Amino acid sequence: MDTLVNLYQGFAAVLTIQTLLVIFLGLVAGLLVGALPGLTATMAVAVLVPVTFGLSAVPALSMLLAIYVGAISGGAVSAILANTPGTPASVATTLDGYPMARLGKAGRALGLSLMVSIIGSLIGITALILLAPVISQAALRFSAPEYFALAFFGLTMVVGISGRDLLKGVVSALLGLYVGFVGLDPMMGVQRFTMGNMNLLGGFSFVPVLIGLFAVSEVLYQATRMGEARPALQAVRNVLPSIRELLRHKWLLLKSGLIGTGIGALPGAGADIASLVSYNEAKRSSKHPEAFGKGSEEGLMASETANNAVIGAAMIPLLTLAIPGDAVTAVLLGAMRMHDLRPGPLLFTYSEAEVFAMYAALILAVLMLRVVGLFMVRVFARVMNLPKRFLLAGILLFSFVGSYALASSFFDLGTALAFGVVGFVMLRFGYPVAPLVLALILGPLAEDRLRQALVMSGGDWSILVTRPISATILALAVGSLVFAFRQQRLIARMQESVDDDATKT
Amino acid sequence: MADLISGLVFIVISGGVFGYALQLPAARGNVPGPGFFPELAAILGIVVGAAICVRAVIAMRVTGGAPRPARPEAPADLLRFAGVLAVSTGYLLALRPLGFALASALLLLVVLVILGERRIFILLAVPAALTAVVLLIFTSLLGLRLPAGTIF
Repeated sequence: MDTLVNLYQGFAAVLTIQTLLVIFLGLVAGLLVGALPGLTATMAVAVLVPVTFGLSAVPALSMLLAIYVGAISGGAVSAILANTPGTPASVATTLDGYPMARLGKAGRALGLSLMVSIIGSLIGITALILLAPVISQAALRFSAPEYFALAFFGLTMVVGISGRDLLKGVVSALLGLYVGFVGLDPMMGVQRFTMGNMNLLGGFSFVPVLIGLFAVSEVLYQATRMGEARPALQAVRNVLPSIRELLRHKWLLLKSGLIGTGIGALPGAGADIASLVSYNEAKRSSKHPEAFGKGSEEGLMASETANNAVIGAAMIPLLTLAIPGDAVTAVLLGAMRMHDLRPGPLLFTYSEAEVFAMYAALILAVLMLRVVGLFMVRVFARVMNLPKRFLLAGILLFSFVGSYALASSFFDLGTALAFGVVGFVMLRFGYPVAPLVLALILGPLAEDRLRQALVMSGGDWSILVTRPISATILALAVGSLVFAFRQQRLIARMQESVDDDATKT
Repeated sequence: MADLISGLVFIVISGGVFGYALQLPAARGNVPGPGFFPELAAILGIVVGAAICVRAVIAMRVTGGAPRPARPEAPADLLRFAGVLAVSTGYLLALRPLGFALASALLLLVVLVILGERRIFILLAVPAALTAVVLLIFTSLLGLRLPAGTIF
C-alpha cells in the first residue's frame, strides 16, 4: 500500500509542464539516436547528461531515463527498415524485423515492436518497483566486507559485457582500474598517478570521461567510416496491432519480459544479451520454429520485449546497491551523483520521493512512447537518410560544451578529448569500452571497502569469508565467473548464428 | 598483428603503472597501502597483455600472417580521423581566446568540410544555427556560463 501511495506522489512530482516537456524531448532525442546505426543508448545519455545540469534532480533524471527508453526502442527502427541494428540491443530484431519489411510488412513490424517495447518496459519497471525496496532493506545490513564482495562480484561480471573476447574485456576493465587509481588515496591522503597535476587530485571527472569514451570516440570512429554504403530503407506505413492480437501472444510476451528482467538485473549483462537469449528461447518453444528468421512476428516480439524489460531491471542493482547493471546505468550513476543523489540502500531512506518520481517518469516515458513513437517513426526513417556528418558535428560540439560547462573547466574539456582518443583506439582494436566504465566505478569502491574491512579485522583477510553474506556473495562471484565463461561461449555462438542469418537475408 | 601491437602497448602501460606503484607505500601495518592495488592490477595487466600477444602470435602462425577479413581503412578514412582530432585539439586551444561562439562555429565548419560537406550555404548556415542553439540551451535555458573570449 505504501508503494502505491509513494508512486502516486511520484506521479504528482513529475506531472509538471517542465518535467513532461523534458520527458518528451528526451524520448525524441533517444528515439533519434537509437534509430541511427552506430550511435548507442549509452552515448545518447552520456552526451546529454550536462544538458540536465541546470535542472533539478527529478526532471534531470526523468529526461535521462526517457532518453534511455527512447534509444532502446528506436534501435528497432533501423533494425527493421535497414537490417542494421540501431543499437546493439536490437541485434536480434533484425532477424525477423527486416524480413517482415521485405515482405511489405515494415509498418506492421514497427507497430508490433512499438507495442511490445511498451509491454516489455512495463514488466521491467514492475520488477524494479517490487524488488528494489526488498533488496535495499537487505543491503542495509551490509558493511565493508559485504560491499567489497559486491564490488568484486560486479567486477567478475566484466566477463559478461566483454563481447566475444574475454581477454580484451579484462584489458578494458584493468584500464578502468588504472584510471580509477588517479587522485588522492582515500585512506592515507597520498597522491597517486597525478603527475603533480592539481586538477587530478580528485581523480578524473566522471562525466567528461564518459562523454569522451562514448561520444567523442564514436565521432572519431564514424569519421573513418564515412565512405560506407548507406543501407537501403524499406517503405513504411504504420499498423498498430490490436490488444486482442497481443493477448494471443501473452505468454510469449510475459516470458520474454521475464527473461529480459532476469538478465537485466544481473550486473554486467545488458539488453543485447537479453534479446538474443529471449529470441532463442522463443524459437525453441515456438510451434513454428521454421518461420524464425523469415519474418516471424514471434521472433520480433521476443527480442523487443526482452530488450526493453532490461531498462527497469538494470536499475535494480543501480538504485539498491550502487552497482550499475550495464553501461547506460553506469552513466546514470554518474548523473545521479551529479544531482546529489547517492544510489545504494540508503537512497530509499533519504531520497525515497526522488526514487518514486523516477519510477513515475519511467512509466510516463514508456506510455508516451506509444504516441511519440507512432508519429515519429516516419520522421526517423527520413532522418536515417540525412547525411551523418551533421549529426556527428553536432554530437562533437555538444560533447565539448557539456564537458566544459559542468565545472567551467578547460581541463575537463581536455579530459573528454583525451578519453575520446582512448575510446577510439579501443574501438579500432576491438576492445569493449563498457568494462572500463564499470571498473572505473567499482574499482575504487572495491579497494576502499577491502581496506576498511581489513582495518575492522586488524588485517585478517578471513573476515571476507567468515561473514555469511560476504562469503555467499564471493561464492556467487566465483560461480558467476565460471557461468559467465560458459555463457560467453553460448552467446558468441548465438551471435554468430545471428550474423549468419542476417547475411543470408 | 593489431592484437600483438595492442597487447604490447598494454604491457608497457601496465609496466609503467607497476613502476609508479612501487614508489607508493605498499602497506600500512597489516592493511594494504596506496601502492598495493595498483601493483596487483599492473601484474595482472602484464599477464593479460602477454596472453593477448601469445594468442596473436599463435593466430598469425595458424593463418600464416594473413590479415583478418575486416574492412580496411583507406588513407582518406584515416585523414578524416586525423583532421577531426586536429580541429578538436585546436578548438580546445582556441576556446579561451576566441570565445565559445566563434570557436564553436569554426569547429563545426571545419568538421563539416572534413566529413565531406561542400555546399557554401550549408557550411555557413549549419554552424551558425547549431552554435546559436547550443548557446541558447546552455546559457539562457540552463543558466551555465560559456567562455566569452579574450581577444574580441
